Amino acid sequence: MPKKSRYQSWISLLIFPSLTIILALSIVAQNQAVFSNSDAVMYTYLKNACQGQAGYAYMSNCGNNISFTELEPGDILLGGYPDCAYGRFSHAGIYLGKGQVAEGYVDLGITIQTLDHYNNYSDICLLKVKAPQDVKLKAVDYVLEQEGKIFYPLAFKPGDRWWNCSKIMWKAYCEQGINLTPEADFWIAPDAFYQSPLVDIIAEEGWFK
Amino acid sequence: MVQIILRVSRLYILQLFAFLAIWLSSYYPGMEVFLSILYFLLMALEARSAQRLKKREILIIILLWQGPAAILSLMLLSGMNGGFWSLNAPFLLEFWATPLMACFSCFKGLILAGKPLYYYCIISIPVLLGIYYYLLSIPCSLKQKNLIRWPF
Repeated sequence: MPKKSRYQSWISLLIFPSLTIILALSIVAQNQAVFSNSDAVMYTYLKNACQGQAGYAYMSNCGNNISFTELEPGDILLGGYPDCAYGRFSHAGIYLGKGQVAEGYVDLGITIQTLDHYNNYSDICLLKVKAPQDVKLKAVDYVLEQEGKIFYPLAFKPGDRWWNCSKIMWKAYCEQGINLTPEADFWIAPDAFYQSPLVDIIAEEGWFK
Repeated sequence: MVQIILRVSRLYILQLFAFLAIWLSSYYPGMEVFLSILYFLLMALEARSAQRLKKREILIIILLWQGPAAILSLMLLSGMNGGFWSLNAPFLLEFWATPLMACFSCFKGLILAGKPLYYYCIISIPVLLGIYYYLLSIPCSLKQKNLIRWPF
């Protein structure tokens, strides 16, 4: 192999590692507020990971008996299993009406499912967003437009092409001028909705309560 | 053998850092698409530089490079349930397929048989990348020999 081409081949190999460092530094420099937010998702995850909790936890056989009768379109559902690394709740969905919920899974993307599987969670909470009904319906419409799009667990807050289960409904309400989680953070955990002052708790069940 | 190990190591470095860089670049919406194109260009350069190797050696490189991802894909296809690896296989494969996901994110979500199109790509990513590398590593002379020519 000639000297020049060997040199070029090493340069091409170093492009992505260099870009990784530059992008990481750029994101860190622009987001000092996130690092000083002790409730940021990354700190919660690291703290729980150090205690041996990783990922979204495993399904338990506990289940719940919560009633969904008070749900209206645009309301938020949170579900969780014990030992989830990013908080009490591991999953979120937005109620569409007629027993249907829009949510995100890695194998289904942004998808529409029936409500009944929320009875399998050991921890569950139903939240009502403090907003007029027409705003909530617009948020529902926004989520429906994203059906089939990519679910990416590490999707950052900016952008509207990569989604996870929490980001989709945060963005849907943001588009209507309601920021449910204004705290500085890179990601949105389902727990952020539970702590939001812009929601009321309709009902909740679980070991944490 | 040294050539194979060196090339597989290079492919792993490229793949892992492409995942990190493309994921980080998604913080600046739109940039990840350009980096995804860059990934496929660099991968093409890697494949072209393997043109002097024998077909058997190229296949070994592909097998070592995409082997772990292929095992995860087979776990998903076989419907294995339970255990850390089978539960997290779709996530790990999606991270592995991040460069392709960046391209897919540009299109409207298409659903086939109840699953989004991108999920089929996640499962077939070891095959897709393997074919991409293999086709580009075939020497040009061989490709020209097999070219269908116009009769006039």
